[in-house]
Amino acid sequence: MQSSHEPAPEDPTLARLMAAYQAGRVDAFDGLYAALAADLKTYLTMLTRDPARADDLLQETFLQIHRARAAHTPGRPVRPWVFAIAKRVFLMDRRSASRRARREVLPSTEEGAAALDATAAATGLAESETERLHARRQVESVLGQVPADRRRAFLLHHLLGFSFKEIGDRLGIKPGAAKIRSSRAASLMRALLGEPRDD
Amino acid sequence: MTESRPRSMDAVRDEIVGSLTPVRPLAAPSRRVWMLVPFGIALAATAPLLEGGARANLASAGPLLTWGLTGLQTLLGLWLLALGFREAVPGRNVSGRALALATVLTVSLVVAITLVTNAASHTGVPAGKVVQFWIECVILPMAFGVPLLLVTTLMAVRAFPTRPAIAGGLCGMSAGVLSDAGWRLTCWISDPAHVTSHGVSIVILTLAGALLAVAVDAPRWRRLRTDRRASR
Repeated sequence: MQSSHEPAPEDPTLARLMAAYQAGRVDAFDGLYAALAADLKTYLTMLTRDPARADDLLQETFLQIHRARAAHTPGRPVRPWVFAIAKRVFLMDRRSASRRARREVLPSTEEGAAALDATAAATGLAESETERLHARRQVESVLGQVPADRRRAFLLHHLLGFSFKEIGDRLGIKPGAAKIRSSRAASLMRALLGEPRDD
Repeated sequence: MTESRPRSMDAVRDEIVGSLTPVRPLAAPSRRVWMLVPFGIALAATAPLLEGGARANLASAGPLLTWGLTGLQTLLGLWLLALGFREAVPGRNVSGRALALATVLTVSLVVAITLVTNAASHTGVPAGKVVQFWIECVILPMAFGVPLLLVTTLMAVRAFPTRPAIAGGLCGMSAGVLSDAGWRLTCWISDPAHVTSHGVSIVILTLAGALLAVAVDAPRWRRLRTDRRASR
C-alpha cells in the first residue's frame, strides 16, 4: 500500500543527536553535521555533477533541515529524512535554474518573436514573410530540444549580437568553445528541421 | 547564499546557531490522523445534517445503505488522510502504486455507493431543477469540506513535504470524501447523473488541496531562488 522500502536500521547516535538538536543544543547540530555532511556532499555531487554547486546545496540543505527540524518524528530514522530534504533542495535549485534559463533564452512577446526571427534567419530558413512565420513556429519547436549550454551560446550570438569573446567571458568559457557551442546548436537545429548540415 | 558571494559553511552555522531554539517535534502521521478523527467526523459527516437535515428517505433506505455506507466512506477518507500525512514526511513518500490505488479505490467506492443506493432506493431530480440541484451539490459539500481541507493541508505542509502537491492533493481528496460521506445523508437524490456533482466537489477539493500545499510551501524556497538570482 505504501512505500515498500522501509528505512534500514541506522546508528542510534543520529536519532539521539536529532532529539538533542530539536531540544536546542548547538553541539547536537555540530554532531549531526559531522555525521552527515560528507555523505550529503557525495550525494549532492552525484546529483549535480558539480562539486561547487554541491557545496552551495549542502549549505542550503542544512538550512532547510534547521527550518524543518520540528517536523522530524522522534524515533524515526534520520538519514532518509535528511536525504529526502537534500533531494528536494536539489530539485528546487534545478527548477529555479531552469526557469531562469528559459527566461533568458526566450524573452516574451516582441523580444521573443525577434529572437525566433533572428534564429530562423541564422539557420537559413526564412525567405518570405509567410515562410518566416512558419519558420518561427518550427524554430520554436526545435529550440527547446537543443542542450541549454549550446542554446545559450547560439542565442547570445545570433540574437543579442555578442561576439564569441564576450560570450566566452559571460559563460566562463574560451571564445573557441563558445563558437563551437553556437555552431553545434545551429547544426543540431538544422538536423532537427530536416535541413542539410553545413559541416 | 543570501549574498552574491558563496557563503561559507561557518556563516551558515552561525545563522543556524543564532536561531537555534528548542522545538516541539511533530507527532507521527498516524497520531495526527487520530487527533483529527473527532473533528473530521463532526465537521464533515454531521455538519451537512445540521444544515439540510437528514434525507427524507433515510429510514426507508435502511441503516446499512445510509449510515453504513457513510461509515465506509468515512473510513476511506481517514485512510486517505493518513496517506497524505505520511506522504508529507520527507523520506516516507507514498509509492505510485499506493497513489493509484487510493485514486481507484476512491472512484470505485463513490461509484459503487451511488449505484447501490440508486438500485435500492431510486430518487430522481424534480423536473426543471436538474441544473440547480447539480450546482448546489457541487458547492455545498465543497463548502463543508473546506475547513477540513485547510486544517489538514496546513498540518501536512508543516511536516515539510518533498512533494507538497501530492500531500495536499491527498488531504483535499480526504476532505472531499469525508464531506461527501456526510452530504449523502442529506442529499436525497440517488440518480447517478446527479451524483456526479458530488464527485466533482471531491475533484475540486483535491485540486484545491494540491494548490494550497504548493502555495504554502513555496515561500520556503523563495530564498533559494533569490540567492540564485543574486549570485548571477
